[in-house]
Amino acid sequence: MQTSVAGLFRLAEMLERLGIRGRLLLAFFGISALAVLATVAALYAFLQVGDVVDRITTDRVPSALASLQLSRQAERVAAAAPSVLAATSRAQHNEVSAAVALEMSRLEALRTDLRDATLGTVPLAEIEEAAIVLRRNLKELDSLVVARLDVVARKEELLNRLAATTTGSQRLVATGILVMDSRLPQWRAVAADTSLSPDRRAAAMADLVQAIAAYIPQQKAQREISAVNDALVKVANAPTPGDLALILFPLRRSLTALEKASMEIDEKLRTRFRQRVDEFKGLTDGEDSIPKAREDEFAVLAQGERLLAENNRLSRNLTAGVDRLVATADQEIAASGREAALVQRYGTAVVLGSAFLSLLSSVLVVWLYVDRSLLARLGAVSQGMLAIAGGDLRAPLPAAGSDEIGRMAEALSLFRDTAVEVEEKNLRDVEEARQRLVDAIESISEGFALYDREDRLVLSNSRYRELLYAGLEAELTPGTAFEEIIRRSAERGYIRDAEGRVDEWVAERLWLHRNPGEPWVQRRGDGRWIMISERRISAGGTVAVYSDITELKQREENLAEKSTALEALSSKLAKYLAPQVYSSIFTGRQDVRIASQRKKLTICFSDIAGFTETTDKMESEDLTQLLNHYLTEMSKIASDHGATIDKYVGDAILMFFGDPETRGVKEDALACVQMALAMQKRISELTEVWRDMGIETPLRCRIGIHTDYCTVGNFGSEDRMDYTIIGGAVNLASRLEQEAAPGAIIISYETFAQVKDTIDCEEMGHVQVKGIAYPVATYRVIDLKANLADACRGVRTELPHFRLELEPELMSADERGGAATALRDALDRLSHKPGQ
Amino acid sequence: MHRVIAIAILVLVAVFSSARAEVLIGVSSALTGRLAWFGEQGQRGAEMAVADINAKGGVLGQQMRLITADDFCDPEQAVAAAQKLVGDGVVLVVGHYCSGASIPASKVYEAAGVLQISPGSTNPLLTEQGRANVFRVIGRDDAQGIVAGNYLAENWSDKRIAILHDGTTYGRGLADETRKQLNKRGVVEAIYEEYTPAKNDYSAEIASLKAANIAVAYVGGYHAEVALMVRAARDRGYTVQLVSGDGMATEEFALIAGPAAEGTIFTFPADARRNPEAASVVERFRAENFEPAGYTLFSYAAVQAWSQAVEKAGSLKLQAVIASLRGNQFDTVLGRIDFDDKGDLTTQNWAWYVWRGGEYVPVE
Repeated sequence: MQTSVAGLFRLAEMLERLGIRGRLLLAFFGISALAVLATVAALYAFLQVGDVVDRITTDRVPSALASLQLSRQAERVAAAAPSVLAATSRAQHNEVSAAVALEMSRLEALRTDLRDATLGTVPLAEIEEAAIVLRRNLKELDSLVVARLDVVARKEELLNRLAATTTGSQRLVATGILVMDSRLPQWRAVAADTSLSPDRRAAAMADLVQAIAAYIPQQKAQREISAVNDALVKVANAPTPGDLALILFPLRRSLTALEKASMEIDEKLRTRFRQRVDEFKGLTDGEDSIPKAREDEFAVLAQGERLLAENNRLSRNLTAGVDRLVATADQEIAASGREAALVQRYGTAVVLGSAFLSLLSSVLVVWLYVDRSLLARLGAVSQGMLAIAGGDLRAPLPAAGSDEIGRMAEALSLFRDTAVEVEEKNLRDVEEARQRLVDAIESISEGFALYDREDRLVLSNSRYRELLYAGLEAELTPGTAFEEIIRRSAERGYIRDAEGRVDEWVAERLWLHRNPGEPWVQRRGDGRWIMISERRISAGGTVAVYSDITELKQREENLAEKSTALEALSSKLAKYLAPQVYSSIFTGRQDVRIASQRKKLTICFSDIAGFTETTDKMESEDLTQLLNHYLTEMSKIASDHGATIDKYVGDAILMFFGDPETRGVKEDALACVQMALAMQKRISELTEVWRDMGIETPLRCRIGIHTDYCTVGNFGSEDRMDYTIIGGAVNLASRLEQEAAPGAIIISYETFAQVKDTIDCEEMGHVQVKGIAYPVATYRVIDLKANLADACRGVRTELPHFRLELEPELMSADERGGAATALRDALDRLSHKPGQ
Repeated sequence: MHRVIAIAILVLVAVFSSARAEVLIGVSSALTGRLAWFGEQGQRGAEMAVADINAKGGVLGQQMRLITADDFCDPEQAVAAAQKLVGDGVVLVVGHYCSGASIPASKVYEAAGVLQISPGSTNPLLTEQGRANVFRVIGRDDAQGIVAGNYLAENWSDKRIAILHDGTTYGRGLADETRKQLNKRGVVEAIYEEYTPAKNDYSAEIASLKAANIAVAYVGGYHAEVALMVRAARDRGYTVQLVSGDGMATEEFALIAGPAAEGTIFTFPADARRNPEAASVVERFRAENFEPAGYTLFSYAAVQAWSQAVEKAGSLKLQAVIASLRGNQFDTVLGRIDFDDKGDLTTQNWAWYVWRGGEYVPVE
């Protein structure tokens, strides 16, 4: 006893030395050993069950399944016999017969398989015998059906022959009947005609008697043919052998009558008729007759019924044998099932027992050791850790010890001391950083505010408060909502925009605050301008910076005022300048400085003929109005055509094309002439208007156009300049204008050369111009060629060595005569071949 | 073991099905009614031809079997008969006899892809319809009418001639062709009339011919009516000369007309019974107490030409057989024959026959 107590103590000491690791290992080994024991037991039980199942699947189930298949096949074969009998044609019979043979051969194959699969325990002998007999029976049935089909085919053939014979014999007697029919009207006529001599009538009667005598056997024959035919058809379908005998008697009688009748048939047809009668006889009696065919059919049918009955019996035998086979297989499967269940029960008991033992040992180890001496102390350490993690650095800790948990407790208390130190240092650092930030934002000149995620004020500098909310500082404590701040400032009239519409403005401002974008400017109630720049920060709040831009704003306004004044001035000035000149100066394309250049221009000079005389009697106001009206209309046309209006001299206008913009000399000249035409047209339209105003004599305009090089540019002093043209060409244009008749347009040769393709002109002769040494060729503009009718248009052709200009409209009769003579002469010369 | 059985069964099935394969041939004609004698000619000719060819091994090694369908020489019945034959699966129809039956039936055969060879339909329209499946082994009425018209013009240009027809496709067609040729030869008929067929008494028609002093009457129609007419004429002592066409070639004409048949003349192709090729066939028919007159040998020849065409084509397919029929010559009881692209014989040989002593003999 003492020894055992001492042994226990020693064991306890040894365990103490092993430490937690060793003791845990020992405990787990114990649990594992029990689990292994349980697994081995289970394995053994499963192997036993597997053996039994194997035995069932390899030995008993296949033979049972094969028996079942055999049974199904046997039923199928048994069901096949009636379908063999039902075949109505050779092809159908072949098909069915092949199908039955196939089923039969499958049955054979299954039987062989079953014999191989079982080890002689199954009663197969009985089935084999039944199958052999059944096969013989099916073969007999098959050949019987072949025989039946042959008999039916033979009967069909005989019936076809009967039909042919009947038609043929009817055909032979039909002729005589037709002749008789055709003669009846004749005899009727003779009988009715009393005017005929007695001899003639007697002869006709004799003829009639003779004809009837010849006709009667034919009619009799026809009747008997029908009777024979009907009887034979009835024979072919006789329901019983007894009926057959019953029909044969009248048939033979009809045949005898037919034979007798054949003796009296027209001799030409007699041989053929007798042949037909012989055919009827052949169909009635002998081996190849219809009654014989029907008898054979009856025999075959009886045989078929007998074989079918036998087949039924054999099929039943086969099915019974197979059923017994299946019953045996069922018993075997049941026995196997019982065996398997027993083994399974033992296996289950062993597995459950070892599982229980294993569970029990685990519970003991866990309860006695793990829970008491490990988990309790671990729990104390873990509570201490949780307390430290939760910030409670003063919580009590478990005492240190010699094992792993004791060392863990010691380490934990060290950790706690360190944590206390670190915490104190962190608090100092945070306070320092915060102070620096406050100093920084206080030092900037803009207002600064920071709002948190919920739009509450977090931080702001004093500039912010004095800039935006002077007098409200007390209310701007951190935590105040943004909406509350702006609403309060709006209500107190700090915001110009919000006057009278506080709620609306607050909503707008909130939207801007929540969707910050570009900086924007706010007008304050005291007249100052604040630029607000808001930005979202990554933590979810908003930073806002406010700058006072009032001075900047005032300077901008001053500048805008000056600019507007300048614009108004320049538009007034524009009226004294040609639009092209104005625009090229104001767009900066041309400098305003004294400079000139030489350019080829088309100059146009227009003047109202006798303007002074016409307007002498007018009041000054009316005159001004008339002149302005006239000049406005003309200037409008000139601008439309792209003319540069140089100056107005009373009622005269000087215009030119080609500067500051040119479309090319030719196009400029053409535009000028077209403009002149448009002006003349407009003046004639305006005559009506002016007449209403009291001007009796219509105003007529004279226009002169010339194209030449001119000097164009700014002329004058540094203080005042004039954009104009100078040169002899201007004088020439003025001279041409004076040459023109009122309402006419005169152009110089230089202009004519540019426009002659498009404009129809008339040559006017030469004028002497002061300052120009040679006389100048002039032309009167008629109209655009496109506007002239063909007949009015001159004929113009220019070829090498040939030139023609013809203006028939302008010619007098003498001139026309002279021209015609000249053309005829030219034609004659042209029609002569060269060298003749 | 069971494999051996299965194979044996398969072999048996194969042997049976090939041995059972047979070629069906249809014969359609008037087997009953007034024209039954012509129907008998067609049927017996085809029957003997089939029996003869089967005895020599059939066509392409297959036996032929004959199916008959009665058309009553009626256009509607002919379509029904044709549909029955097509339904039974025939590849060839020997028929029909009447032109009025052949023409509507040919449409049914064309649609079903069945070959048709007529032994007796002479109306030109049959082969003028553009149906590739239609052939005939007899001449055409446009040729027959020319022969008849010429004969009338050459022999009786100074007599009063009547032209009668029964209104059928054959009768009217032949009468019109004859009249055309007669008029072309400068002779104009005194009477042109239609009569009703299938009556038993034609004395009224004969009385009106006699009253009109007609010496010669050309009849486009079938034998029974012509026989009754000639009988009615002779009964009243009227010696009008009756002239007709190929629809007279049956001994039943003489049986109906009796002694009155003597002297009536008609046109028919050269008598095939005199051909050396036909000698043995004619002999066998006579041994069966059947005179192979009229169309019997034409029907026989139709089957012969077809079987030879099939052998040469090596196929029973319609297009192959048509090409073979058009492209080859055939040795038949009618002599050596061949067909043009319409399906007509390339040579026609119409001749004149006269009734003497109950049978028809060539006019000397």
